[in-house]
Amino acid sequence: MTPMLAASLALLTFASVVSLGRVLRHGSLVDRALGLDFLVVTLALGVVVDAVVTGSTLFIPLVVAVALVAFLATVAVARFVERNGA
Amino acid sequence: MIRVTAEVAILAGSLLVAVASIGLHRFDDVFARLHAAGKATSLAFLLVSIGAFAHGLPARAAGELVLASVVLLVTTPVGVHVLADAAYRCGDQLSSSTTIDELADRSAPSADLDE
Repeated sequence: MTPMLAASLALLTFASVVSLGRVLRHGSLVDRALGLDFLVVTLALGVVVDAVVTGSTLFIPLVVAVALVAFLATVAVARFVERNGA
Repeated sequence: MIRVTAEVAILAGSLLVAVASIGLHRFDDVFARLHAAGKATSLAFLLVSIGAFAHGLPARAAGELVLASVVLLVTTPVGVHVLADAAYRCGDQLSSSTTIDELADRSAPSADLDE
């Protein structure tokens, strides 16, 4: 693992912790939904960087599944908020 | 040489995501936070995917990563739009530095959501 890849993983870890803080912070449901969408895509990026580090493409389908499911979850939460209020 | 460029691309994508996560905290408006979350994730995913291919990820992963990139590029604006619509309808206030509200004369949420 070269230093630049290690720095990328460190930055992604930092980003996921900070966005988790956004999810838990006092705010509306929309804030939490977008924080979770961001968190999930950050984790998917971490999987891609890990695939580059180890050279194994075993977990790449996870990235596709995560991208699809995150979008569905975001839209479901938004429809719920529209109907019931935050 | 190509490996170094690939790693720079991956690092750039990660840096973009890290800066956007700070922006999620610092913006004072839910709509600005939607900007940070939506724009950064799709661009960062593109950068990291290109860096991964240039670095030498096996070609088996090519189709799946391209699919994931296209899916993210298409669905992220839709998700951001739906969230912004829901936030506006529920009365999330725009920040005090906003000067134009184009939806100010919009009526209350209509009752035909369930049809």
